[in-house]
Formats: sequence, structure tokens, C-alpha cells
Amino acid sequence: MRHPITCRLVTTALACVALNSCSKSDAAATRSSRSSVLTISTAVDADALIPPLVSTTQGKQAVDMLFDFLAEAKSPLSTTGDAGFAPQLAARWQWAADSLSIAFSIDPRARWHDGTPVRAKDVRFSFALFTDPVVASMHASNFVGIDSVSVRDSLTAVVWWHQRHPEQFFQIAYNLAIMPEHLLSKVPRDSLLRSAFADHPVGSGRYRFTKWNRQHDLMIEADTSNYRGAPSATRIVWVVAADPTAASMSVLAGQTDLLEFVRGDAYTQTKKSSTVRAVEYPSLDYAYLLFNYERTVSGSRRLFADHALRVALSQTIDRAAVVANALDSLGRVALGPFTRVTDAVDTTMRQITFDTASAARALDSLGWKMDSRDGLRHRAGRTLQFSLMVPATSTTRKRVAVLLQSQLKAIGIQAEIDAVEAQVFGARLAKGDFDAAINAWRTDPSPATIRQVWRTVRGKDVEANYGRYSNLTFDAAIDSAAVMFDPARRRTLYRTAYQSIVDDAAAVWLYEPQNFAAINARVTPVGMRADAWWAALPNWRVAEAVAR
Amino acid sequence: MVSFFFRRLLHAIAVMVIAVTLGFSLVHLAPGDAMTGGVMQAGRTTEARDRMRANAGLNLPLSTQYTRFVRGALRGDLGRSFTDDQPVVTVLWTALRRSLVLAGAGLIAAIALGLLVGSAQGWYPQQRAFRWVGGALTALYAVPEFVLAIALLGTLAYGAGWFPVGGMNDPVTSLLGSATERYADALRHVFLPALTLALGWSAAVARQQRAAIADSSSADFVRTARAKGRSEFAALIHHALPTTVAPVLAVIGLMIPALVGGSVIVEIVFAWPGLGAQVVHAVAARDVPVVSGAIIVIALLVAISSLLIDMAIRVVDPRQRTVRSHES
Repeated sequence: MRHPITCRLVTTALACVALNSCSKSDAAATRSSRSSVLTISTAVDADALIPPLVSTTQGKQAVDMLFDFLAEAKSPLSTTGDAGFAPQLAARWQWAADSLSIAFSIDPRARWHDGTPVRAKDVRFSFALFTDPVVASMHASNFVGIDSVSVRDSLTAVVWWHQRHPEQFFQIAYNLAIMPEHLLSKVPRDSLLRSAFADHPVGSGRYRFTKWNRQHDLMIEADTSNYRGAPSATRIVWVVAADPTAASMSVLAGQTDLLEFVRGDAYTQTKKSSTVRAVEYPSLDYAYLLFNYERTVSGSRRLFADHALRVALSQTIDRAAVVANALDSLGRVALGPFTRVTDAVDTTMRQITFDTASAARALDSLGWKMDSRDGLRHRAGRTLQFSLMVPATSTTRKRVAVLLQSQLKAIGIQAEIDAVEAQVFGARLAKGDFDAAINAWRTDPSPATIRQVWRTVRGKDVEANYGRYSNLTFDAAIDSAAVMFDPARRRTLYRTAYQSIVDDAAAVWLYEPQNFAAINARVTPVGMRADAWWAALPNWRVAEAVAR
Repeated sequence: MVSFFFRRLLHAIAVMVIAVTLGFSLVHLAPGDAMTGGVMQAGRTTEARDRMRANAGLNLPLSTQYTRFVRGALRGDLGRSFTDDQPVVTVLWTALRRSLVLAGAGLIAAIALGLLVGSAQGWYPQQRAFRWVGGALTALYAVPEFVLAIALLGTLAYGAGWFPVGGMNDPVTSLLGSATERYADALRHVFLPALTLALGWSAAVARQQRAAIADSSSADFVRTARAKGRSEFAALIHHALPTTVAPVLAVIGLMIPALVGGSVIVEIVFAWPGLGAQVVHAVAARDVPVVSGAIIVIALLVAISSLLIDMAIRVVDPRQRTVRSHES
């Protein structure tokens, strides 16, 4: 008679041995397949993976890997003409004799990740999707001036403009991510995010979508048969951390490979680490003290519209000290509403310098007299004071606000810090409900887009000119520069515009932060551009992972 | 029993109505909305934003929005998220499942640890080691959860590297790992956040259990059991412990609202993508449907759990039934 218990024990033992060997071989497979996985730590999840609906940087990073553009911007990025671009989805292109259209020839090898060939009609469809008011894409304004996209044959898409301008090629090649018409044409335009495509996007890029656990992780994998070649890292994973501190801890602990920005303590820890290094890349960000030109402040209607007062305020602020103290020297004094990598910037341009004696004289002459009893300036019974709005979520800007408050106080100006939640900060800026604010702005690669923030606005729509600043000299110069083909004259016009706005003390230009990414030593980054550090991610070299 | 159930049910419904109304009003009273401020508005024209606001019904009077919301909620439709256009029910169910895993693990660990320490303290009141353990738990109870979470994270995860610094799992292991690796990975991820929750809560359970066991240990029925020759262990397990179930259940009932609220902080610190983290994101983005829906879910959880605990106490403790029947 057989012994059932013995039999069960033997069977269980054999099963355990098998399971153990399986799990060992599984573990080996996992180690092998994770050998060149690149994990990116982020404090914010992607918001969408359909290009027109993406508004977060994390969403843009993923979309840029999944979808192709007509041409690929080289590093450093140039926005004029087509010299700064290499073929991507378009194998070649041809300008019309009148330069009002460009014919793009689609690479016949290009395939969507579902195997369908990419065709010219996909380009036409993508343009229609981006510009459809029903879609309400925040990127629609990038295509202003483009008349239409037509299909000459199955592999040739022709883009038509109303009029020539120097950034035509940049405008279409840089902004238009090409999406598959055969998968999206039947989806109602007002409910794209409800489609199956939103949860499982299909592109033609060098990475294909794998999975997305919202608020936790997003994974893409190499398209090994891609017409542009297989990328280096087999997978890229964005891992969502609770906040920037948790994200930096994750990189420093070796659990993820990359964090796009490190500041303060995280930067110091990165510098000390033997496995993670701080890699600097150019920045398009600047921060400034924004004035509300329409506001009645200290009893004076449109107080900040007074040029002499603005100059005095600029002279009061020691910007070098602000950068040294608030950014721990991980930044530079801003030169104006642009950064040092912006086209046509002259770093030797004239600046309003720190000069409290001149500032005091100017304020005296404006009638703002110092009262020794309270140490503040008064005019007609009113104290020179205003509120200084900052987003409570920005440690750097809160530090800057405290420094500005102290420097302004020294000359008799009372600034009340008004720290508000980020959403409220944005809402109040848009409504014009502030006296002054410390705002930060990321410039677009195209210098012409400075107009969104600083050109004179009329009517309800202020774009990003929240303070309703107006300078007609600046407007004229920048408008002329935007349509100027001659590089030398274009540069001169931009410089004129920049100098005009700096001389006008439109704002107090505070700082340009220096961008440092924390990157694991096994990862070798290449081509980190100011506008998109991730642009060349498929070409980054990722060495074998050590056990985590 | 039936009338008691209906009384508690009415009480639960009243609590939910108040919670939902207050939550809905407060979210709407906060400045800004999903279509104003932040990244949502950059680059969009005023017309586009106005159209989006109208589509979302944000232009309607608050009373109309509230009526619509309540009508939808009664049909099980909580609307769609403003940020990603997903059904709110799906968004919340995904987050809730994750939260229940964490809170469940924390609750089980807290009860086990609390019962063990409390029973030992109550049964052997002179044992110094048990008093110390109890004292340590009480000290941990006094520490705010976020401090405890950061301390555990800094020492055991970041410092020693024994545990991951956050998240619910390793995405690569969850995709490519074997079942064993996936379970091991999930356990490593849940350990620290669950421990944070458990350490605080276990002190409350232990304190209650200690008092209940101390009372029982000198009760007549335990003395009788000892006199009949039952061992100390048998007297504890078979005679003293059953009488402590009701008070401990009452403590667990009180813990459940704290569980829902407390796990928000722990979820944030450990990047656990649960209901708490979801609500924080939704509040920041003024995603009104998600916030309002979350308030309903949380109020429902608290109401149902309180109801169930009250019912359970009446079932396990005959004295409750007697007292209530005399009262009625």
C-alpha cells in the first residue's frame, strides 16, 4: 500500500525544487532584462499621452519617445531655417520657390507600433487634431500662421503658410508630433482622453508604450525593429515619488537612475555621492519680480507704471547677493526676460546696477520721504508698501522674497510677503489680483515667443503678460525681429528689444537657475538640450545595472 | 436589533450628507479652479478656457452643481476627473484598493502587536520587560505619524538600504519578475508604511487590552478556572481573552476614521499611490469631481465600518444587548 502522506511530501519537495529553479531562472531573466533599464524619478506623473493634450513635462518626455516629429532638432537648437534639423520621420524635404510651403517626404520604412505604415495623411490628420478648437490643445498657438497641410501622394505631405517667416521649419518640425489617423480618426475630438488610445498610445518612435499605473509608474520599451534603429536602453521607466525630496532620495539610494533637477541639500548629497553625479545642462528658466501695472498701490493709481520708481526698486535690490544666498550660488543673475542660451543675447548688455544711494535720491525726488520714526517712506500720508506674492510650494522663491523684503526695508519700502498655494498663485496672476509677485518663466526655444509674456495686450486675454506691461519700442523691435530673415539684422533687432525692456526696468530680473540633473554613474547622457534634456534619451548609454 | 440597525443607518446617512455638502462647498469656495492657474491654462486662450469651464459645468450656480452632483452620485455616477477625463469611480476605486492594502496590513499588524503586548502586560503586570515594551509603544503613539514615517524612511530605507524609499512596487519587477519576486517586492514596499501605521495604532489597542485583561484576570470566572486546575495559559486564552473582544472592537471602530485620515500622510511620505495621495493631488488641481467623490467614499467607509463595529459589539457582548433592551 502506498503512503499518501509520504507521496505528498515527495511531490511537494519536488515542486519546491522546481519552483526554486524556476524562480532562479526567472530572476536571472529579470536581471538580464533590467540590465539596461533607465529609471527616471519624478515628483509629478504624466497627465496624458496624446500629444495635443499633454501639459506636463513628464507627459512631454514620454510623448517625445513614443511619437516622431518630421525632423529632429540638433543640439544646440537653432530655430531659424532648417540647418539646425536632421531627418526624422521625413527622410527629406523641399522648400517651394516662394517659401510658402515645404514638402516633406515621409521615410517609407516608418511604421506605427501596430505595424501599419506611416503615411502623409497622418501628418495632415495630426495638424488638424492640434489645431481643432474642440480639442482645445494648449499647443494650438504654436501653429498660428500655418494655413493647412495637404497630401501630395501617400508619402508626401505639404505644409502651407500664409506668409514667410524665419521660423517656418522650426514651427512645424519642432511642434507637430505625428499621430496615427487610422487609430484616432473615429474618436470624437472632445473625448480623446476617454479613448482606448489614451490608455495605450501607438506611435512610431524608437520606444513603444508598455504600461502606465497612474500616480505610480509609466513604462516604455525599445522598439527593436524601429526604422531609425533600436535605442540603447531597453526600457525607460518614470517612477513617481511623493515630492522632489523623495525623488532625490530615490536616486541617491540607487533605486532610480535619474532626477532632472537637484537643488540645495540634494545637490550637496549628489556631489558627495560616489554612485550618482550632478550633470549640468543649459537652462531656459528665469525668475523676476513682476509688477502689476494696473494696480492701485500705496494709494497711487498705477504706481508701478512710474518708470523712475521701477528703476529705483531695481537699484535697491542686490541681485548677486540674492543669488548667492537663495540659490546657494546654483544660479546666475538674470540679464532680462531671457536666458544666456537664448538666441541673440549679449551678456555684456547694459544693466541697472545695485545702487541704493541713487535709489534713495530717486524716491526722495518722487516725493516718497523717509520717516525716521518708523523707518518707512511716505507720501501724502501714505506709506510706500506693497504685497509680494509668492507660491508657497517654491522654497527658493520664498527665500528670495524674504531677502527682497529685507533689502527693500533697508531703503524704507514695506513689502508684505503673501505666500499662497500654487493653484491660487496662478489664478491670482491670471486675474491680476496682486501688487507684485515673484514669478518664474520657462522661455520657449524661439526668441519670438517672448511676446507672450511682455508684448502689449489689449482686451481680456493677457496671455502671460499678467502685469499688463506695455512698451511700444520693445513691441516694434520684437515684431520686426520675428519676421527678419537676415541673421545679422535679426540679431540687432532682438538686442534692441532686449535692451529696451531692460532699460525700462519692466521687472526686476532676479535669477537664472542652473540646471543640475542627478544621474547614476552607469548612465552616460548625451545631447542634453536646454529645451528638452531628454531629446537624445534613446542615444544615452546605459551600462549593466548593479543589484538594487 | 433591527431597530438599532436602522437607527445607526440613519445616523450614518446624516453624517454622509453633512460631510459631502461641507466638502463640496469648501472645494468650490477655494480660489481658482481646474481651468485657471497652473499648467492647465498656459497657452490656452481665454475662449478655450471658458469653453472648458462651461463644459465642466463650472459656470452654473453652486446649488445647481451640487444638485447635479448628488443626483449623479445616487445613480453611482460621480462624473469625470477634470485632469485626465477618467470616470471618478474608476480613479477612486483604483486608489482605494491600494489604500485598503496598506491600511489593512497596518491594521492587522497593529491589532496583532497590540493584543500581544496588551495581553502580556495585563496578565503579567509585574514583568518589567512588558512594561517597557508597552511604554515604548505609548511613546510611539505620541509621535506624529509623519515624523515616524520620515524617521523610518531615513534610517531603514535611505540609510540602511533595506527597504525601498517609496512606491508600491518596483515597476520592472512587477512586469518581468516571477510570482515569488513580485510578492517579495510587494512585501518589501508595504513593510515600512504598514509598520508606521501599526506602531502608532498598536499602542491604543495594547492599552485597551491591558486594562481589559487586568480586569478579567481577577474576575471570579478566571479564579474558578484556576481553581479547577486549568493552566495559566489556558485561563488566559479560554476565559480571559474572550471577554476583551468587545472593548478591543470599540477601539478598532475608533481607529478606522483615524486609519483613513492617518494613511494620507503615510501615503504621501512613502509615495504610496492610494486614496490619500489621490485626494491631495486632486485638491491641488481643484479637480472637484474627484475631491467630492473621495469625500463620499471616505464618509461611506467610516459610516459602514462604524455601523459594522457597533453591530459586532452587540453580537459578541451580550451585556450590550441587555443594556440596550432595558433602555428601550
